[in-house]
Amino acid sequence: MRASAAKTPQSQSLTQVALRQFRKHPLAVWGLRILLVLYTFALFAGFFTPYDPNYYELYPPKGHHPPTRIHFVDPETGKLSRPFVYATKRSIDPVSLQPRYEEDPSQGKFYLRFFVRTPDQPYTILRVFRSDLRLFGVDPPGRIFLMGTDNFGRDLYSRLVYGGQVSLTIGILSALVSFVLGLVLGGIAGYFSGRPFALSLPLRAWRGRGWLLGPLSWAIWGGLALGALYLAWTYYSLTGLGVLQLLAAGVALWFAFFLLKTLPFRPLLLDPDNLIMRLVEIIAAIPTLFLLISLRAVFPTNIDPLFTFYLVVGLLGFIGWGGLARVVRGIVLSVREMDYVQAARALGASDARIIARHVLPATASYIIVSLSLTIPGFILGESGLSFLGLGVTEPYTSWGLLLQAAQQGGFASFVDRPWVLWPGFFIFVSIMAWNFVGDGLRDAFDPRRRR
Amino acid sequence: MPEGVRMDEKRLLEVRDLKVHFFTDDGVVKAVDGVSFHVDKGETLAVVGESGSGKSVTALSIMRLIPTPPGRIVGGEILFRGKDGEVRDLARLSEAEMRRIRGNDIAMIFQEPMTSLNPVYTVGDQIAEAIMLHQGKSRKEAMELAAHMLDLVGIPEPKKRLANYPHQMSGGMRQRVMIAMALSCNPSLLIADEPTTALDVTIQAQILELMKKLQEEIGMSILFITHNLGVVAEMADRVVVMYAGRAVEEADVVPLFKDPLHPYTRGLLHSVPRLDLAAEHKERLEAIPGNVPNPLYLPSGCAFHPRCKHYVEGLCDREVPPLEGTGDGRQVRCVRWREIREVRA
Amino acid sequence: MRENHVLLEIQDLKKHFPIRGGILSRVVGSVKAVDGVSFAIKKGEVLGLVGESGSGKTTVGRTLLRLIEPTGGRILFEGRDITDLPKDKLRPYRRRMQIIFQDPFSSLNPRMTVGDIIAEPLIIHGLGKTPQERTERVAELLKLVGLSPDHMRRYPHEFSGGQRQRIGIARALAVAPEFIVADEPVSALDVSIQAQVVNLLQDLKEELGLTLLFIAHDLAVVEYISDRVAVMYLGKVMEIASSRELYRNPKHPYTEALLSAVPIPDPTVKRERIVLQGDIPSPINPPSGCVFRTRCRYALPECAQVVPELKEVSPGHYKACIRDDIL
Repeated sequence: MRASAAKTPQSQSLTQVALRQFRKHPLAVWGLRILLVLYTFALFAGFFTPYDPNYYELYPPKGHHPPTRIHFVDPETGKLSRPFVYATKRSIDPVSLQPRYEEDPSQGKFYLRFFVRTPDQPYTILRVFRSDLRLFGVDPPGRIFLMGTDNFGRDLYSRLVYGGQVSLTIGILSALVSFVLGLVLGGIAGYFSGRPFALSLPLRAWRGRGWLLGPLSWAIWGGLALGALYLAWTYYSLTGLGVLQLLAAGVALWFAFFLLKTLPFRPLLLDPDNLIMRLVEIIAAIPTLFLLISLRAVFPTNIDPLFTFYLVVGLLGFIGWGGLARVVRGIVLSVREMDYVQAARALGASDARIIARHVLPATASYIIVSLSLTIPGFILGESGLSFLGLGVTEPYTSWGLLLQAAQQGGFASFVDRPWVLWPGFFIFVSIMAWNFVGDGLRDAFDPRRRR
Repeated sequence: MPEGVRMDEKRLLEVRDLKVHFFTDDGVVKAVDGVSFHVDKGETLAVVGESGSGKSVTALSIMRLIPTPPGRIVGGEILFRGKDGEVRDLARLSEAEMRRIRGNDIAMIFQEPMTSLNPVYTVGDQIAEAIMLHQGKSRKEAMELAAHMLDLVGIPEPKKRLANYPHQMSGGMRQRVMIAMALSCNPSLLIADEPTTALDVTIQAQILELMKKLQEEIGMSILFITHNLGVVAEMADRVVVMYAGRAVEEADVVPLFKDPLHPYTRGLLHSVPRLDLAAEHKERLEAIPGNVPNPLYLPSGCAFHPRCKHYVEGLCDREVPPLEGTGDGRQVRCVRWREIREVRA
Repeated sequence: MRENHVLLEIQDLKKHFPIRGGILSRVVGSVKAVDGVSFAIKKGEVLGLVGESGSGKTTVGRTLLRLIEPTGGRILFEGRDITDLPKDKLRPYRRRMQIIFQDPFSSLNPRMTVGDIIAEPLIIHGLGKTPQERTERVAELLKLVGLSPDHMRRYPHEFSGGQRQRIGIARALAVAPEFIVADEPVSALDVSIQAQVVNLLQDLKEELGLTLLFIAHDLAVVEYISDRVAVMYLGKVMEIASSRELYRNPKHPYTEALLSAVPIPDPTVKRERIVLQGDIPSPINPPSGCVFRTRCRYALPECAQVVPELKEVSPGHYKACIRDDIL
């Protein structure tokens, strides 16, 4: 038979098609490149920075040092030379009482050197690989501060790169936490919507396994009902009679009565969809920053800095899952009714198989897009928390923390030493980059936006 | 703007060598590739084809409703005689001039009566809007005319129905409303793009009856786009059969059904299950083998050759056959039509 | 093996979808999608099920496969009642009854290759132990439905509607079922492709001895493939007869009107058409008595009172109409 199939040049999965589409989105490609650079710097922070982020000298003090000027022309000969810096001399401005730094050519030139080793300041990559090789540096006592120093005289550039480790990873980690929560809870809500779970077995369903589960469920719920009664009673006996006590007793009595009335005859039904979506709505109804701060307030402030880091990740993730869960539920609800899911059911596939093979993959493209679009929010959230002093603590640093340090001198500090605003610039760039990538991914996965 | 374009006196619309291409990421889709036909005053021309044949794109091009980008009219003329008697080339009109033609001179009804009505306005508002826009009538007059139109398309209690929202009506009712809206400005040409495809057979029968009745009363011409040969036989005076962006056969309706010349037309007629044949003929359908071609990778030569049983290697797959006149007012795009006809005779 | 025994039977099948309303989402009414449908399909037979949209024909198909749980009535497969079987006991039956869907675009998972789609039933039912065995079986199935084994590694979006429908058929055949519900398998396809798929189903039926429930709204297509045809309207069966008898000699006014509404692809045939007035009533609130009476041209006042039973008017020909004096 000559009838030939549609001759498409090569077989492409939906993902391949999307990737090809993504490459046609110039802003997204640039965003991705910027992110690659940022994350590479964060990963190899030690290599790309000249100093340990917490290194400073007591004498001579270098607090609020402006960015070091790099010379390319030799002032003596007037010719181009290898880049070099001068050491600086510190003095105090008599009017503003701010430190001033002037170049001091008398100590000689300090040439910029590449691939230097700094045995006194070793670093690790991913806490595993030890090294002291750095991309660039100058010989002491010369100093190179690409973006100036903070009030202690620590190199702001090095601190920025290390701060990027925290700020950028917190974004991804929090997104992952909210992703897991959103996917699992949204998935359950969607897939089991309208198929409520039975939390107890009525008498006539006591057959087979029911002989075990039936009494067990009764015991649990009966226990709960008695517990509620007991609580109401103790409340009353401790505080005496009042309106509140009456209310509590009323609620407890109603609960107990409801259980006793229902248990023998009908199963207690709980629609997970209802439960989860109401929870999402409650979380969404509380202002985010307020919720973040109150949740953070539950934990003490003087805890281990590393624990604080994970705490922030957890908090941000916990707050962000609602939106994702809601959308995952929507997708799952629609996929559940697709003919291919019906076909799988007609084939006798189990719920687990249908979820794993058909339902979850359908949400993948949305999740990728949604993740890339929520990460900037988490980066901002971390900055906000750190800015308020509730986030990451010393010796760790993050862009938010650096910004907080920047504003400590009041508005004057921005005028006197504008370089302290660098972290703000990096927050801006990374968020824009993530947003562009997210936009690009969304367009790539959405067939309607294809050009 | 070329003034004084000439067109035969009795013609209302003449499409000459129309080419509409879509520039997509994967390549250029030649959705319509050199299609010519004409519609005379008061006649019904059916354009038949399967998905990807370009029949809907042709209809949309006449209305200049091709989504641009990616689509573009890259060549050809669409000559149309307006109510004022002037002949214009719609392919070259400005958007503002085109707006005056749409709805007023040419109206269109679509396949999906669900989506072609705006769900947030009442039916009356939507019909009256078109009337006010094109005929400069007051709102009150427009509403009265709208009620009259609903009456005309056979909707009971038209005055009451004006206040209804589209979702309060059934699919058949909505299609009636669409027709009322399309005809409210007395267009000289009605383009019906698969108007009954989404409807049940009993409702389809109602709508077809209605369209025939209205054409008799109003006298407009109809360009009927469909894939349903039964509907064609019932409605059309003349038929253009399209395949893969080209017209492959054009004829009056009776000779086309009696003696189809193009192998595709023949195949199509034979593959349709028919209720009217005696049961003895109903053992098996004669299917056309193969698939409707992917418009991105059209076969060389005659686009139908991979599915054609009269295919001759070296003849059919070389060049696109020209649309040939057969002498009796018909046209066919097949190099072997004479032989095929003789064999059958 | 053309035995005369009944493979599948449904008795008084009902499916009412509840309509919830109000703040407490109480049930305020129900859509009576299927309202007391009974028929039996013999082994090796093709039963056509025809009706317009809202007639409940698709719901019948899905309910008898227990994809939708019935509200009432019984489903018997080889005489065994499977209406209330729990999931695990139902699984062996799943292997023996399959379904082909209408929409070739939503019936295949766009993220799986064709090979994976057809292999899935084999994995679920443990047919074909090794991946290699399964690949062979998939290749065999692809050939059976007229596709090439090379297509295995492609994705559904690379195929045309007709090819996708073939893939859907291959998936249904993978478990070697005895009974298949074909739910409007050709209505979404192009005219020239419809005939291919109908012919394919006919061939497969002969070759594999399948029993089919062929659901469609296109009366003409059904005639070609069916041995017997049932006509549904608003959740009820109006008429059942052998294919030839039903088309040549319709006894129910609805069947008569339905047949006359189909346009004939021949401009020279002129016939008198019965155009049914009005729309199909809402299945939420169907007319009392005979549900068709509001559009019936033979309706009598009694039609509003009595729900007509399906009764035999000639051997094998049943109709649900109280008027014996017509047609």
